[in-house]
Amino acid sequence: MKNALLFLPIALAVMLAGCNLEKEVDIKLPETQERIVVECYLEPGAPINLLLTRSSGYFDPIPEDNLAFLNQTLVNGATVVIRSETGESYTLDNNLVFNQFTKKIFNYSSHLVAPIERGKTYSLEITLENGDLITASTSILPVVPIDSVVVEFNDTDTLARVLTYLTDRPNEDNYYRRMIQHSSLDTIPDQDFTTDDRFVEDVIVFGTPYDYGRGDTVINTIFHIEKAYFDFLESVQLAIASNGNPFAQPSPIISNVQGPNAMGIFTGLSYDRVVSFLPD
Amino acid sequence: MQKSITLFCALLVSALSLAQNRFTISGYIEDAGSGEKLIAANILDLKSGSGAISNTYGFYSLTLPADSVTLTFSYIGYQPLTRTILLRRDTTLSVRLESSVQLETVEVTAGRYEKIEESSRMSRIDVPVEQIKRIPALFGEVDVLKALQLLPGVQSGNEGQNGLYVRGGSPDQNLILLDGVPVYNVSHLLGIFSVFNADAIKNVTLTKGGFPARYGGRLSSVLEINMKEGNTQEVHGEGSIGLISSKLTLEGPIKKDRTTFLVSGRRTYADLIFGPIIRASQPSGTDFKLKLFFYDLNAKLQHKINDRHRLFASAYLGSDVFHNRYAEDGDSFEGGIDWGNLISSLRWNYQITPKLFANTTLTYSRYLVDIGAGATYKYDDHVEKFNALYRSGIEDTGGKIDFDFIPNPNHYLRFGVSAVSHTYNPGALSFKSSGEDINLDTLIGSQKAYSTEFAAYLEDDIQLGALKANLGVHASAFKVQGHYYTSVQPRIGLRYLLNNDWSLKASFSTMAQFINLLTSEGFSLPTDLWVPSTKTVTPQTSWQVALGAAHTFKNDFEISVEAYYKQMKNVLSYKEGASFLFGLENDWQEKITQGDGETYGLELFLQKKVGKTTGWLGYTLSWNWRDFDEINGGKRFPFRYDRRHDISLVLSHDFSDRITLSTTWVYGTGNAVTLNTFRYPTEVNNFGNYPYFYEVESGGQKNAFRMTDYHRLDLSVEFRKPKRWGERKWVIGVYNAYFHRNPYYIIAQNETTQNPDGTYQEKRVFKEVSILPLIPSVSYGFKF
Repeated sequence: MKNALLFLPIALAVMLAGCNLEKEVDIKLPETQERIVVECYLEPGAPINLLLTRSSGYFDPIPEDNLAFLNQTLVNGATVVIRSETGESYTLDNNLVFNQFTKKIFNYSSHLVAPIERGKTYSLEITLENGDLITASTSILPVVPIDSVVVEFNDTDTLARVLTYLTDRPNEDNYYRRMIQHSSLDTIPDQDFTTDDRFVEDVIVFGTPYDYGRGDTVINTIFHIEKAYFDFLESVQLAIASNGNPFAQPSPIISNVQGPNAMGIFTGLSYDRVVSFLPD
Repeated sequence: MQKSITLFCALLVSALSLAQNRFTISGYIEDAGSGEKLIAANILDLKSGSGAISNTYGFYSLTLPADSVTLTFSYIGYQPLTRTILLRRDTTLSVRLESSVQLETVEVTAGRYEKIEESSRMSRIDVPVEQIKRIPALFGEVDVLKALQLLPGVQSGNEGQNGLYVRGGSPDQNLILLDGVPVYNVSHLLGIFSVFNADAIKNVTLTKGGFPARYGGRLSSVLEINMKEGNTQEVHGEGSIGLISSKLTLEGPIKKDRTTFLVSGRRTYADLIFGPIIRASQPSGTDFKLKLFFYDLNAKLQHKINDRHRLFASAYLGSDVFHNRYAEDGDSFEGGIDWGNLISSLRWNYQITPKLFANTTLTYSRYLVDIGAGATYKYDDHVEKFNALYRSGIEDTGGKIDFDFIPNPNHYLRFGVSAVSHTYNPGALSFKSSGEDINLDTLIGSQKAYSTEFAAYLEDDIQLGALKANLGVHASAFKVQGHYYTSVQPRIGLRYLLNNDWSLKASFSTMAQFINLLTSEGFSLPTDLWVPSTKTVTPQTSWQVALGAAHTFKNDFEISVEAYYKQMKNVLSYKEGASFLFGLENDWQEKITQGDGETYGLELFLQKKVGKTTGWLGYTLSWNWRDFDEINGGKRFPFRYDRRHDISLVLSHDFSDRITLSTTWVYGTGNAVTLNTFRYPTEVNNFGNYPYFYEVESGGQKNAFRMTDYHRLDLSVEFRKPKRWGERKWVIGVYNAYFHRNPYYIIAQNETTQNPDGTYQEKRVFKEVSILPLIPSVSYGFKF
């Protein structure tokens, strides 16, 4: 009897492993209204770029090739106008551009560098082919400069850490995006996160582990961002983190564009970037 | 409010003035076989119709006019006893009742003789421990909390877990008292088993609403679990050997009728079975060690100093241990997690006068979780070691005095004060490292937090003819970070007895909760942490109103119907998107958000406690909503365990003295889940992977979808046989007898299908994954 008792759990484990415990279910998702998604960034001294896409239904087939994917996703034929607070307007052209440094693509852009100025407010007006109007507005924040970047080598090792110092702007709520990349702007950042300044006295220090070797190039970027962009980035990161995780609660995207079924972000890019070359 | 206080005082004064030319009979009511005190036994004076009920310590007090009185003592499952005495002075009369069940002479069949329609309380259920032990159990392991999940108004959480969601509340809103001491973490093995060992338990009472003033500190329920005191007559034992655990309980007198003891232990042994199997499958030259078990140890001592003074000391110690160690060529790696409770109390019963009974309790409890990892590397000339340990927990020290004052049969007053000091250790991480070049020993984030909770209460159970009322007020204060929170909570319970043995009941109660559990929805993890309300995290509060009717028919059947409505304020939730195992950083307050809850429903309960066939049928119709500014875009959403329909059927039938068949069938509306409804490309995370876009899935309205409905049948058969030394039994059971694949979670998968033209197409599908198939179990038990 004792032996039988001992073997029962083993038999049980084998049985458990043999059971098919998955069952496909037919869940009727509501017929989702297609969303129009805007991502538009204004940067003084740079062309204006805008990506206008449509969402796919959760069950929509995944296109097999990239061209088909672009055709299905990109929303073309819209009229896109950026207006300054003083009334100047810039109409963006509907053509596919590819930024060779960041390797990002956009389907609307200004040919020339638009005179975007810091401290000014800009509005966005998108008129879709069906007449729907999407609007948004943003102010271009001042750059918060990086005070210094300090490279420190470990006494006993050949690896270095990188400390990035900046001074928080006093008497206002500030939000930052910190990004640090190895060698080029199109690499996946070693660190990419947003933070606010609620617990900051005046100096902010971002550090890294001892990860950088002699001869490395390290690109430090500090974006000074609006609350709307901060919320958008946080919500996108949360949504990505919960995608595919059955135990996480999916997170909605917090958007700053208005219009029928529209979502996305319209914001200025104000950043300071320091490129450090670690000695050989 | 003021009016009700005035009324309360007036009733009190009238109660006291009545007590002239009357004498008091008081004493204890015990089981004749074991000497265990009988809780809520009935004492009735046949002549006047006045009666009393024994309290948690078996004490009763009945004041009657000087005369010859004939008292009947009765208790469910026991033979009634009648005594006639001439009442000329205050009299002490302790009685022992004989169990009417021959087979189980040493058992205390918990329950109450006071008929359900007679009590002024509602929304309260006693489940006999014997019934709990008969319910078919997962892996054959009897679980008190899982038995309570089968009651109406109580929703279970995820399958196989022991969380109690009472009337739409969450598990942290249950005040779970083991011999009067709050238990913080009731889970073993991620909530699959609970810490309560049924063999050591005397009675289990769940209160879902209509809370009397003596209770406070949690919003949704009070679960009182009292340990047996130990047999006063002779030594007895009970035990079992099961698939996953074995247990043994011993009880008996140290000095007959004076001092008793009870010890009970349980240990699981998954590691003893799986350890050797895993070790055998490792390559030679390596060493693998596994520790995977939990244990419980209950102990209780009772000492009767004299008829008026009794002392009780009780303790619980339990822990989960999960460790593994792997060694190869002199290098070794180890990791593990241990968590457990220590709960202890010291109680002193003092019968000050025949009408005044005092219980003083000192308590100490702590909950601790340790997570550790280490490595040792052996080099030719030296050894390097690294160790990390994360430790967190909560520690309570408290004291309380409770008084029962029974001036006459129409009043039963209870009042008392309590104070508890909480120490929170919200997570300290320590590193140790030693080797050729490095020697490190640091401790990070070990700030402790402190708070103190005070409470005082006064309640009176008043009999006014057909109307019986329980009126009271509970006041509490909480000191944290130099900040005080206070709360005054009125409590009202009313019962009106109709002519036809039906009674109508109504209750109103408000509650406040000053400590909170940080937990993810759906899983009980050892790292779930208790934290205080703070300056920014305000206390949770609630109010609940309930209406109902109760009736006993054919002597054995109790039926009750109740409707309730409850509102909760400042309940906690993690902010959207938050999902993590080790949830504690110094800024935990940043990760949570507070909002409101609204729940309402209807409960139907039909119970039969004695006879060849026992069990119950419970049905709950309920709605459960949450409303947070920062969740679901500020839109109200259903709670994860919003269960429209919930049915439980529990039946046991004795075919003979030797064979009992038990079955449960449960049905529940599927859990609410959030599913994404669309996906779109973004540049946010797009770093150089052109021409691909990074796609984000979104659009899920919180808990807007339902998993398929849950239903399950469990069966068990118990074969008992008397032996020279006592009794043995075999229990054979099966969980999920018709193997319904009940959904545990939903995953989205990409599936490739072939088109008619030979090309392939990828599409997405949702799949429900279940974790518990049909599971047989067997266990051997004995008692002597």
